Amino acid sequence: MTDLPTRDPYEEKPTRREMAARLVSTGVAAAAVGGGALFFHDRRHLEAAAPEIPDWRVPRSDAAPRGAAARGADPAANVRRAVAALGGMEAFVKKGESVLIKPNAGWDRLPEQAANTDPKVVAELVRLCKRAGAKRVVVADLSVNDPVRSMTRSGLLEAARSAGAEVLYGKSLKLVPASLAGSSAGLEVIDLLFSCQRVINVPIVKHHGLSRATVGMKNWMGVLGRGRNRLHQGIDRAVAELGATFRPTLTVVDATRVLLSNGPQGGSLSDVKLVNAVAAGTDPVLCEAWGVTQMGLDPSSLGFITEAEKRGLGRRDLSLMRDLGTA
Amino acid sequence: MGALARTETARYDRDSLYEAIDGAADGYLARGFVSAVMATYTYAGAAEISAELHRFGSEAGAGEQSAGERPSAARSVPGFEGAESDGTVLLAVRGRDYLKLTSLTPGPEAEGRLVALAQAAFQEKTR
Repeated sequence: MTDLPTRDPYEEKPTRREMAARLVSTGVAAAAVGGGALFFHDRRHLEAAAPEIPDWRVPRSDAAPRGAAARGADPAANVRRAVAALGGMEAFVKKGESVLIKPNAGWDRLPEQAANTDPKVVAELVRLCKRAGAKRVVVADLSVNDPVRSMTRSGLLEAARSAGAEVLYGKSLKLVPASLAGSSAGLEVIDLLFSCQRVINVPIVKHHGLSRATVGMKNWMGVLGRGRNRLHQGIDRAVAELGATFRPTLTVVDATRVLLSNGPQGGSLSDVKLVNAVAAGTDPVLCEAWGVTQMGLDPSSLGFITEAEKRGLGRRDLSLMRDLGTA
Repeated sequence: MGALARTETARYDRDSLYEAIDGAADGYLARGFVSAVMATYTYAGAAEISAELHRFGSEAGAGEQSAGERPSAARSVPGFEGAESDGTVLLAVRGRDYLKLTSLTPGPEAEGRLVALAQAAFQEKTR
């Protein structure tokens, strides 16, 4: 820790994002003087080469509940109750299907530090999918910190494997180009998004330095490879774009422990609040809204929720979340 | 300071900070972040501490970043000016440098190790 870099700290060096912003400005200026045709022609060509992200939702009747939330000291029981209130996992996963479960496993942190999805929540989802007849259940995430350390210390590796899932992370994940609406070309996603018929998003509720909170929509950052940092520009719009792009079969929000500050990585136990709740839903905006209320935030105060609702991705009306009470 | 081993030191600059701390990087960049070195120290019983030493363009930037990341239960560390800890995280500022230590295995011995590591880091740095 003694060998600090020697470069003059006052030397101006633009960041990659500052450079990107300059390039965008240059591109806009070029389009304005007649270069637009070529610019957009190239963009169409690039997007055509990359497959679109599938829609993993299952048809539901208008009368079906959009979400249900359960409280209690046992995270697995909360998962079972919440999913059962939506019709059970059998309503979402059919025999022989492959299921991707996407937790937040981004950080080299213990479950008590509330930076990653609780392993008991993920393990119970694996068991429910297996019981519903899934032939393959994969738990995967592209971690921010070292992937082996993140998957191990979070408890997710052992819990998910013990429950019968394959766990893929780091170099075991294959990245492929993909077309993401509203984003520039060059983004990559994990190939499991194309090989699994069903996808369950399982975020943890936590503070985020940029967006104030992160729940489900921002959790999709963990399926993106190269270029994902660009999405931190205009964070509210970018999070809503992710919500529009990735349409999961189910969102299961882990509020067993909630990180109230210093997110997304956290670390301090004094920043963590024990909430002991889990919600499951088919409406990602409702799940988002329920999640942030577990942090004591008003959903209407968060730009990415407002933006997502405006785009018709769901509703933040908390009366639509069925409260199952405490077990 | 009692550590048995240390991982290789990773270095980050304004371009690469996202690779280490993802979305939290924006706050650092806004406060004049220049560069950082990071490593993980291992202790007896497989206890570990993550160490981050961030250099900012100004003392004010380093101080603001530390204040912004102060854990809710942090208190001053006796005999260690400018350092605060809640037992799992220790933050300290020296000039333009901001030191952030996080216990990856919280427990009764964690705070003593955090303080010892912080003192050693700043002592070595000023040598």
